[in-house]
Amino acid sequence: MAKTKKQSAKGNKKAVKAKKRRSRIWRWILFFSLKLSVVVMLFAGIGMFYLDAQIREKFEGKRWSLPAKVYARPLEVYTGLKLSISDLKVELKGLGYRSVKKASSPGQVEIATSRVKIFTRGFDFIDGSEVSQQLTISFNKNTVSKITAQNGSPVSIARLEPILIGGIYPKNNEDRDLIRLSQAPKGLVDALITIEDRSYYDHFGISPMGIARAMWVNLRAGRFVQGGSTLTQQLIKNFYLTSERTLIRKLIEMPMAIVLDFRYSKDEILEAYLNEVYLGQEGARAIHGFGLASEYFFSRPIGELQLHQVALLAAMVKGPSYYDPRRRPERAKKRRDLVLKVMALNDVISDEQSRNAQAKPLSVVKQKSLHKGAYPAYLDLVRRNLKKSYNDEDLSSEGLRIFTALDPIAQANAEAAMRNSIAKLQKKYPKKTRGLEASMVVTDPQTGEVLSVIGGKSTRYQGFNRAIDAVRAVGSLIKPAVYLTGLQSGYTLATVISDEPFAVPIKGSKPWKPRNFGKKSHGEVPFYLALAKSYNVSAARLGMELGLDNVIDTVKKLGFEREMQKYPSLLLGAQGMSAFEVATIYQTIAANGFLMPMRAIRAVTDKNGRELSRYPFKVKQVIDSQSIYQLQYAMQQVVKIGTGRYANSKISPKIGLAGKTGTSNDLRDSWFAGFSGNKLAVVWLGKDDNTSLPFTGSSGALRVWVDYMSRESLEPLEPIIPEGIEFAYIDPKSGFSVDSNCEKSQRMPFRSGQAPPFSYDCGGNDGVNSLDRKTKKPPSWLQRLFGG
Amino acid sequence: MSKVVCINKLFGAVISMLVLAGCSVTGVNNVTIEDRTIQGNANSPRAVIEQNSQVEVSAFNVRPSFKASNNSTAVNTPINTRVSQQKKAQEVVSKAQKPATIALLNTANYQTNNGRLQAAQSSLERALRISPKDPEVYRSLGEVHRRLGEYVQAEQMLLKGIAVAAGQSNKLRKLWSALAKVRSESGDAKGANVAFQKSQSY
Repeated sequence: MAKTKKQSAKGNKKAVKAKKRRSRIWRWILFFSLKLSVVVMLFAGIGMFYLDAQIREKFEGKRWSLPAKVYARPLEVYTGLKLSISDLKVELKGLGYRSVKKASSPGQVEIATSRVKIFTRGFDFIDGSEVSQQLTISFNKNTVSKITAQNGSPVSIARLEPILIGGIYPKNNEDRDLIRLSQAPKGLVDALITIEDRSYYDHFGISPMGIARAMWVNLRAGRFVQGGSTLTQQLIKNFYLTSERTLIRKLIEMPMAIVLDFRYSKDEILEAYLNEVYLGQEGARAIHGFGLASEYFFSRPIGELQLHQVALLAAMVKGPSYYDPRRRPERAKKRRDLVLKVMALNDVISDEQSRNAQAKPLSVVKQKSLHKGAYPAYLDLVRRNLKKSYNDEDLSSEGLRIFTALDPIAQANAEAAMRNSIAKLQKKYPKKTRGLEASMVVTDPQTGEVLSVIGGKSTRYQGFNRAIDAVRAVGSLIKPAVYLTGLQSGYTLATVISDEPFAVPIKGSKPWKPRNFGKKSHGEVPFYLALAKSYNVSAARLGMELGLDNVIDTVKKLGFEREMQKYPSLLLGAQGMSAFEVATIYQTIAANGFLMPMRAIRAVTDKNGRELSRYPFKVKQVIDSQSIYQLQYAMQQVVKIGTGRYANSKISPKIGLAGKTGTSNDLRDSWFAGFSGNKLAVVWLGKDDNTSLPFTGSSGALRVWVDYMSRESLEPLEPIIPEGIEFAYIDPKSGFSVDSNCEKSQRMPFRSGQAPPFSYDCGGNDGVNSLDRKTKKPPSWLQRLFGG
Repeated sequence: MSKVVCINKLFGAVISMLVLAGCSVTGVNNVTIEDRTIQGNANSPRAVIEQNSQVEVSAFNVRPSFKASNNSTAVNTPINTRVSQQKKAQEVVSKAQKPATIALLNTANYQTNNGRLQAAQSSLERALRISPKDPEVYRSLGEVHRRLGEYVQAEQMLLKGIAVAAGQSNKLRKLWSALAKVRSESGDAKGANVAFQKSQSY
């Protein structure tokens, strides 16, 4: 400062000195910038090393968290399978097969009136691969009558691919299906490069020309129109940097792009880009990568997409929500057509190809149209089972593949039945059905596989899963366990039991007085009829005689796992159970006394198809075959002549359905549980606030159950007659064995040697005055005659 | 798949003969058919079973009298001879009704013999879903569990097989003797003896 003052004082010397000084300043600046640039270069060098390390770590490590994929059961097609063409069509639609005139590549299907020709995609199952092949499936009255391969030879069995029904997503909710560059159709890569980064294969990570062009365009337009980002920069932006728009991020993006480009090949970078790019949003779930986007928008693998479809995907990169083809179809189509035009301009495709593709509609499938997001209750069950052996981290990041037993056809039938029947009930009782809720479980009684689960009246609502979590009084559904205890303790189907009112004294409380529905007593009733008609008093008497401990023991043997309270009222179903628990119990009955674990998951593999865990079919005999055989007979009587008669009026008696109604106190719960040879279903109707319903088990849940069963191809329940069972004609009134010609005589099974004594006058008094309640009698004449 | 197709070819002849033969059996209440006769049969045993399942059938026919197969009627005899001739030409015995089940049982058998027990188990579970009342499926599952050293499950599978095989003496004989083997391997000599005695009673 002082020097400057002296300068101004000395006048003309000023200019010369100023010149000198200026050159000194310049020297200083030059020297300084030299030093600075060395420092900058040093830092840049260090920075580059750091960036390089960072880039390599992420690019070569595990790049993405891959959500677990959950699959439905694969459809097995074989001669004799009961399957309608329409059901097959639904299955194929769920798999994204394209209906064409001539199936010539995987994923295509030709549908005629009684024949379907499928070009399958093939799939790697744990137990072997199912190859991609052309199958001609012939139908005859809703049954597969023949399957032939392309060369005309018969095929005995083939599996379609399993439908993907959901996933288990990581916390950031990113979902993706990884693809290789080689899997991406050429059109996709061409479209993408043409529209996003034409010089991709020539630049070094950033494109100065591109930036210059963008700047020029922006300047001319006076606003921000174009970004000069290369695909590499876009990848860096999504892959390594946070989404906030900061200057430092902008500055770091370019050097990183250069390092990435230097490190890796163009194809490697492009492949990462294809899998990273964000393309849509479904609720909280973010759709990343072209592989998943293809499934999400077109419901088929990326390799099967056509030009107009890949052009749309490439078009959406610029703004997935702005160009959302579902919400903004006009904008999306405009941009897609632009992509096609530019592709033709750059001679990537011909003008004709471009025109043809532009003429096509967007052909995007409806969101959640069929299977995705359609099974919240089932997926909830799957997730609960998985949590026993896997942690959340593994489930949402390791790309596990989970194969379940979900049968989309059974689930669709169950949902339709539920909707339809509830609508009818609501029409009949408009006021009293407000707040009505429902749950349902369908299993295969022979294998214990869970085929479908409904967790509430709104079947697609992801919330309270009533099938598992709503623990409600089961009412008379418990009775088969009571009667089974009786059959195991010497009672027969013909044993006469009393239905006269009685009271059970309870310490420190009022005595328990069970009452029949309608408060009517039925006097003396045969065992099987008491169950069929669901008489409460006789069931309570029987249970008290057998002992509560024994009844509880039976319920537990049948598969109920929680503790039960030892109150007499449990005999009439005071115990609360979920529909799922009821299904477990009934399944043991349906499977002839063999307990099987309820299985929703068949197997879990890692992302490469290696088996991690399997949930094999297991059985354990818990009840003797003879007792179960007799119980099944009595439960068939429920449908034939008892409280389940409504089923008989709708479904052929030849199916021999067996089941039981249940109604809890004050009509709070309406239940039906029952089975045919191949389907077991449990239906619950009730209200979340526990208020009364306007209907019983018979007039409520049974309706849903029957509606469901009549939609299925049922196998008859033909219980196999075990050794040690004989048959006798019984007079239901007296419980005696009688001649088959006697009026009202009924043929029923007995444990060998336990058939009641014979009455020569069709059950009238013929000298035998009283019947031993437990009929431990000498063998009947029938037995003596045939040596039972 | 090619294996399955091949198997199908092999059984083609058998099936077509049996379909023809099956027609002649209709109307005869024959509960048990000689084991061999059911080999690869697609239709006739099914028809027979359906007949017997009618609730109103008289006691004679429904009683599981295991000796019935020896008193086979005149109509039945030619089938037995015809098929037993077939059987000599064909060593692998499958008793499944549906071609799909036969194919899967064969696949499972092949996998079992190659030591691919888990794959065999998967194949058998597929068979089980298709034919849950076929005793042969349970017998094979029992065999897989036995080889895996899972004797409790092996025994339970066989017991389940015995339950579904009621009334079919040939199958019961095999199942009980398989059970005897499982029990003796697991160290249950007494149980093995009981099972063996039982197998001899059919």
